[in-house]
Amino acid sequence: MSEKTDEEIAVLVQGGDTEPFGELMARYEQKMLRYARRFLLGKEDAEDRVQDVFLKAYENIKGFDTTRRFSPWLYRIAHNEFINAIKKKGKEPLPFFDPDVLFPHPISSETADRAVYVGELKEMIDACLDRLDPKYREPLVLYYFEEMDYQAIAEVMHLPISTVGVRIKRAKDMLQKIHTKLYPSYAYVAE
Amino acid sequence: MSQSNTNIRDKVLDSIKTGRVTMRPRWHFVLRAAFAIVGAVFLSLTLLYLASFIVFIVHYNGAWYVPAFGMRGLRVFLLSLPWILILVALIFVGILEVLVRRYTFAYRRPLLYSAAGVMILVMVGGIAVARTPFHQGFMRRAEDRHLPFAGGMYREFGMRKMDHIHKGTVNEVNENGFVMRGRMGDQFTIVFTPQTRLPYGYDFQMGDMVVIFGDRVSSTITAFGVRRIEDGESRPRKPYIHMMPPPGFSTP
Repeated sequence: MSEKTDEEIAVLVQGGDTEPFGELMARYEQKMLRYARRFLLGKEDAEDRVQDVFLKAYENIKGFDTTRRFSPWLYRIAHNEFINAIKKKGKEPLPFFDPDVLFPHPISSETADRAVYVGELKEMIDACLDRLDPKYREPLVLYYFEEMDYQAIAEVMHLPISTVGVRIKRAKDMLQKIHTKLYPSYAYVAE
Repeated sequence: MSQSNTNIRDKVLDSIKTGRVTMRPRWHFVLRAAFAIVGAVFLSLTLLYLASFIVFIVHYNGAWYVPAFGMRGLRVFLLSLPWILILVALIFVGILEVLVRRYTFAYRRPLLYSAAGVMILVMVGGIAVARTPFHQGFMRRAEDRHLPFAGGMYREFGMRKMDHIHKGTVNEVNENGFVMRGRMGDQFTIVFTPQTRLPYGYDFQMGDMVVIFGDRVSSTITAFGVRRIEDGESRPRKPYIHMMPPPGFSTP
């Protein structure tokens, strides 16, 4: 089973063989938990949410188009599940409409600083993530911790690729300000 | 492997095995996609109908032609637009956006692009449909009270009195202007002044369809601008009368 791709396993599950679904869960459990803990800030019960993600994935697996990649499809389910959890809590702002999706934005480079400053950035993100709105927190988590590119993040969040770039750029700027305020002695160069 | 991870997997597999969670059948997704497509097609056709109706009504009332008469004409044009229908059409564009936003072709691009694309398509389609006899036929049936569905809408928007915009047929040409028969059969005396903006090299014939932009006092309209129009209405042509513009009259 381990030599099969996610999509090949999904075909088996769609055919009624439920056992291979365990293999899919084994492949994605850690990733989903990591995503949930950072995006939901550990306040929510991440394990319960991830369990719901897998249950929803199983329920809807016949709607998965096996000519496409499995990973963004599963992350999309997780995104919806986590957004619903945040909405239920009602403690964090989740605007119905985001003007960022309205206008085109120039796409900023997505690889330069991830390669150079990734260690420092991850530390900084972990230290200040709880101070960011969910709409900025999520693309940062997907980009720096799930190591997705802009296109994959756009697919998960159903956003234009340029909007993903804008959100990550703004999130980093916000993080830098927050971090400087919290830890004045720590110098970090974002760009 | 941590205990919690094993728990998640075990719980999910247990739910599957005990039948507490089941796979939705493929037809569920096919049906959902079909509903979305039918909804999008229905909304698109409704939008097309609304847009073409708006264009038709603006033509029918004569408001379409008045922006040619300068800022005053433009102001009257804007005031004469059926804003309620335009608002409804915009709401439909919004609903259509929400419906298609889940598809890659829509969410990958900024909302402005897809909304502008929809609006351009609807406007072009609306203008194309408005040029066909489609709405004209409905309007005639509505006027004759033979259109049970939407007849009220056609009468309400089509028969609306427009300030400063008067549409009709040239009935008699005289040296000060002409006599026009309005859509309801009433006669108006159209008076030209040196400031009246007339079509270049104008020759009005009896039977010409015209739009008059001007102030009406009783049955006399002092024309600020006159425009000859072709609106597809078949009317018997009357004998040709050539008319020379009086000295001092301006042409746009």
